Amino acid sequence: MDISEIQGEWQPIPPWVRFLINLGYEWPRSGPRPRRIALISMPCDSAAAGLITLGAMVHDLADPQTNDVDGHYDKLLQYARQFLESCNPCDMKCDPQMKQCGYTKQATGTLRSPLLPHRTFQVSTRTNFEERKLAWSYRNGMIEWPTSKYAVNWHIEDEPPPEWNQADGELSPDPYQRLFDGAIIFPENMRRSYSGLCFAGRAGGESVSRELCASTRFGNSAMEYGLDELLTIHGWSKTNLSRIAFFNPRTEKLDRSNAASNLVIADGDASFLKVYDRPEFSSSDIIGVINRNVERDRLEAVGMKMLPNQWLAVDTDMLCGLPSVPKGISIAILKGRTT
Amino acid sequence: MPPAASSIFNFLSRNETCSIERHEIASATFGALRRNMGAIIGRLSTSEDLEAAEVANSLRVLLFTWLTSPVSFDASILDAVQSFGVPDAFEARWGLRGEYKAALRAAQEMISGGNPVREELLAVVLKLRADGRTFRIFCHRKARGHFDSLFIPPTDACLDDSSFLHSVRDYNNTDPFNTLIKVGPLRSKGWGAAPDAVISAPRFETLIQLVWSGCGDEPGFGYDPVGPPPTPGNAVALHHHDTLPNQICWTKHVTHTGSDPGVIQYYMPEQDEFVAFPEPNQPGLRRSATLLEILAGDGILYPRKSDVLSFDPNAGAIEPVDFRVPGETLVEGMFVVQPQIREIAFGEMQAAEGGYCRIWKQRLREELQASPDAFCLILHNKGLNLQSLRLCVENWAEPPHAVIHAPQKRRHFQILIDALALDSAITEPVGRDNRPWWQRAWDEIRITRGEAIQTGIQEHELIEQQALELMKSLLPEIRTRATGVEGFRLQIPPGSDLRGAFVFFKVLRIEEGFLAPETEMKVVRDLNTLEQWKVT
Repeated sequence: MDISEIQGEWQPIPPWVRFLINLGYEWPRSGPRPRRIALISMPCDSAAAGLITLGAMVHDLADPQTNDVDGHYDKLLQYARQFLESCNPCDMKCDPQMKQCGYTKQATGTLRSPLLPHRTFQVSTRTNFEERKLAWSYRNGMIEWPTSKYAVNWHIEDEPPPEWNQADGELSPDPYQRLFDGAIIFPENMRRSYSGLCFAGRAGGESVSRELCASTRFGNSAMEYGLDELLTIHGWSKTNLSRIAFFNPRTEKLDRSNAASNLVIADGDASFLKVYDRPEFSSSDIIGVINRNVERDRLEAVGMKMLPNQWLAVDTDMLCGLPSVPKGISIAILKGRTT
Repeated sequence: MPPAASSIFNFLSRNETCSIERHEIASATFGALRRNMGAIIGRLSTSEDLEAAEVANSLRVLLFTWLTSPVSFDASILDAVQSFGVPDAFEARWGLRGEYKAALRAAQEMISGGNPVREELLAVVLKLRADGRTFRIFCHRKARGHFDSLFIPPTDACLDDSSFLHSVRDYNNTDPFNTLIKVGPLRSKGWGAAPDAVISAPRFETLIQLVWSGCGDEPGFGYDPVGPPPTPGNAVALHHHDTLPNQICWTKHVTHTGSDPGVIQYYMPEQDEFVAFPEPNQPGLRRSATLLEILAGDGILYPRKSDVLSFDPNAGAIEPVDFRVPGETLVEGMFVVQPQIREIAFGEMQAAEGGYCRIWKQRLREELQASPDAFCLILHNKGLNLQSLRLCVENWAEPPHAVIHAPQKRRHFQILIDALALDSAITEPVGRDNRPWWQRAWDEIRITRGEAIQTGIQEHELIEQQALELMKSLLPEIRTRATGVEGFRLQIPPGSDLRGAFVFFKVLRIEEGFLAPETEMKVVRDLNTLEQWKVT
């Protein structure tokens, strides 16, 4: 597998890229563990955050539990409750932060299904939360009460479907397996979305983040993939599935409802600071990636977050366990004092 | 566009160590000038007189400019020192004991000697050229002229644009090269500031630093939030057990040239001018700012991301006059506009008409009687997020006395009227005045308050809004006046609510990376003065 940056020549994957992908891949994700905050300081502007995210995503592809199918019915119920009890009766212009309603984004009550791609379905007021029975209007006023298994075919509008059962549209394991020789990929994951891994883009917003990732391409004589496509962020690639949630630091919005991310990779100092203070990431591991070629006050603002305190201590074990770090990259890792 | 990251990593892996060649230069005459200027600044800085502080600041600007740029030691130095006043009067005024006269003598003597920093710099550049080494010079944009003046064609090849780096962005966008040249100490902010990345993320093999003796680098320069800064002089970077450091190693070689007999007696590390006379104001009192360079070496700082009244001379512009964000929608070539308003005339009709408050206050009382909490929630959701909102609203419902109780801010009043949802039959335009009803009601409030115009944010907001509308009506004249000039003043024609003028400045350059106090915002200043607020 070769790499090309900013439309440059193709070259074998250099050590710094390999190190960052491996760092994401090896990041401890399962089992009881302390919360970790890491800061990767880069000597220049790069797609480092995207590369770490890519590594973490490939790691997740091997885990049968990394999917949004489990718990999807509960997610739809939560969405229905938000719509019926909060958003529908609210006559204000939606601004959850100002209203402090506890939600991060508006629920329109609209659902979609890959089985019927040209139709929308509205959550019905006949949904019974006590009996955990979701209902949506199906056709001509008919109400449908789906089982949890059947509901997997429906998803919230503007969000990725939890599962893709169509003939085309599932992910291809090929580029991921080429990146990691011998990477084990759980086949079912190639047609399932996942929200446990989050990429927080640049402070400039989604288009800036995507453009930067697109400037890094992997390939060989037979195929070529942009990093933006490989990350499968919703709307960045042709596939409908998404294995990575996206947090936009400019709008301060996640691209999906109720995403419980266990790892967030933040691209840039401003993004890191935003993620660090967001309540929805208060229990997530965070890896911040900064280009240290910025103004001193910005460096100091980030540095302040990496000082050990009563909750976080230096994670010497993990630092010592990392493979050889390429010259120019510096790393600090803190871990929670309790698991 | 920044270079590919791989090219930076390849460069770093190829170079085991980077080196600093520090040339410390001493001069007896310049040393005498520095000491005496320092003594005057020190004396004036302890005075409680505001004028003394201004003089001290001007002297500081001069001194720091000389210490961080290869200035010619010519009559301009003497002129600059002399500009502070007649020696006897100046010394008597500020209680000096010959320091000013001694400074003048030193400045006079310097003219014949030449600047040894310039000579050293010339020799360094010529040698780099002869050796075929690529080099960049990091300096403030305003200092570039001092570097350019070293090379006089056709004898010497001029320095081109690519030879200079002026900002963090410039440094971030440059490919690796052989040598970086820096005049003055390494500092992260203020005069002669440079990015920490010069040390923490070098893109060159050798840093040649030309510095006057006694000027030390800022402790901790080369800050990396992950781990300690590298320590020049150590062949191996320090290892910090709490982090994995970047492994960039530096060696340092210091040479001394020239002599200054006074230095042993007078210069202690803590008497380094950059330590002894730091920039005024604490960082906590400053805010991020963007510099707009305008004509004649002046500039204006605006709070970062602020909306600035501006004019786009481009014929294809959809909204030629608008509020724009510097660096984003306000770019080089456009004009920034500063309204200079003497007074605002309120329409007679509104003042005489009155009575608006009776309508909205009655409606407000109805809301408060019906459901005060719900009404406050509506206001809050619409953006009127005052503390003790309920108390405020009850106060606004009070009948008018000498003044009309109402929100302090225009925007808040607009929200209040919007939330009250007054009957459209009541709020219809009256006569030729087709402004929204809330604006007429707001004018009524302002008249009763009798506030002085042009002071405070509220009035400023009002002026800018009115200025925008007025400028749109003056667009043909603005277009004509803006052709081929870098600045002009446009008198507001009679008959308008505003009295005064608009001053247009063409934006020659936009630069980020300033941290300045509120008092330095939106005022025209000399670029040298503004450089003290630079953070890189």
